[in-house]
Amino acid sequence: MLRLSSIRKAFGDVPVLRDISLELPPMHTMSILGKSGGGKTTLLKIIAGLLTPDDGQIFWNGLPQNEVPLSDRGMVYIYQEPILFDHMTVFENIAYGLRIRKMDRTEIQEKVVQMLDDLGLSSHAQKRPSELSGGQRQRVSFGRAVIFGPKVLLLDEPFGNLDPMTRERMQELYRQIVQKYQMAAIFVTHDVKEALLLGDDFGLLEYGELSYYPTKEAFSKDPRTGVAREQEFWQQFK
Amino acid sequence: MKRVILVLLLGVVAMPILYLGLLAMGRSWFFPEIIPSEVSVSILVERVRSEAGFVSALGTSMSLALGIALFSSFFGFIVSKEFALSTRKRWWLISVYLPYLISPVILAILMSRLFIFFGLSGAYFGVFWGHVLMAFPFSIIYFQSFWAGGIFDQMRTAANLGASSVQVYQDIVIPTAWPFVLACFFQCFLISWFEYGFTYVIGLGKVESLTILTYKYLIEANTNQAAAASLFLIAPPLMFLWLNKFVLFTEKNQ
Repeated sequence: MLRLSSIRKAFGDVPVLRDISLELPPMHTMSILGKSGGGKTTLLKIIAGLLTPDDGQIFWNGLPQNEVPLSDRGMVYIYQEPILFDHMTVFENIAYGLRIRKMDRTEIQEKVVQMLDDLGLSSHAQKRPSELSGGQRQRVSFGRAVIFGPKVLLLDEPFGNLDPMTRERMQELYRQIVQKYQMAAIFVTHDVKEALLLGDDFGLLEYGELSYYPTKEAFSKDPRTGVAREQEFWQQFK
Repeated sequence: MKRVILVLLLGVVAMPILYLGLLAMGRSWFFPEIIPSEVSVSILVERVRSEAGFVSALGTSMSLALGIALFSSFFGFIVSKEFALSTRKRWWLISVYLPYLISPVILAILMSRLFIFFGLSGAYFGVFWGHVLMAFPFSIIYFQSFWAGGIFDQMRTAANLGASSVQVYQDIVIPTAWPFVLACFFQCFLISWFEYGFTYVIGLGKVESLTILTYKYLIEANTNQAAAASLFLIAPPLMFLWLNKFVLFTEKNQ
């Protein structure tokens, strides 16, 4: 289980995160909703080890993680704009996490082929990232992160740059993969629908403060989340 | 029409080289003959052998250029990364542009006291460090485009996936940087290979490179010998142009 205790971060004199605490049980997806500049990315980067908090502790199964280096932390951050290794093929990109762990070649082959199939990318295995569309690139990035079984997936508006159709397909794919590979994830988004669709529990990050909602109902009831406004909007068309 | 233009263009490029070749490999070329009465490679070999300093100047230039290219590409790559990460990046970059504000000869004169102080005047290593002053800043500036191109995100991504520092360099940085390093190596080699000012001022005539020798032949009005030296002088860039075709402009790197 991932646990954050009183995480604080400021850039210069500007506080970005104020006293953030949360718990993420195994195989859960927590959707965190928030506006741009609300500190969502900073929070995920701190969990991943890409940034250091000014104060507070990160625990994994009770063990402190603050001093654990980025490469050993096993909490993978997925960027909004997928960062793929351009000199590698799709297959090599997905296999990377396994290869650096010195996994057996045959096993790598089997796992990657399976993952490519799950992602619907089998026919693109030998292509370079530059030959892929935005949605395909994000699928590669996603598969590469999931394949070696990280402790937590940290998704920073991963579908934010995709067109609505592709976005819907990716949301469905995300649900399938997370279920199949039994992942715990924090999914950050500014889209209310996406947050509701993908989360098991919810958070709202505003001005560096996190409000936690254990259920969809609790999340929907809070007027700050914008769920009620969204519902009202769609009511007009009924 | 396209073919004619291509042939004409090739002719414009090839003519001076051909002329140089004829001067270097020809004998008894008197007006109004269009080409020398005798043209052969053995004449060029003979010219090279007849001059005691020719082979040693060629060796000096070659060792200097290779040394500079290796040193500048390697350390330039590392230093450029530190610059890219520095909060004072702008100031560091301005400082490496400084050697290019004035001509190499004037820079060499301004710095000659320093070279004398360290006992490097008139010495091979003095000339080496002089060339470094020209090639190293270039290398740092050149690699900035590499370090600014999203490589840090790729490095962080690889580390986040579990790669150690060695694996990050081995799997991500080196394969991505390879074409950049190679192009920088070629360019630094050429900077040193054609360097005249520093070699002249710091070398004090004791370090005789191919550029110094070529200039000496020109002053002596020894046209054939100057052409032979020039032919060797333009050989590496021509070779690099040819190599570029295979190494840098492959489909994989584009």
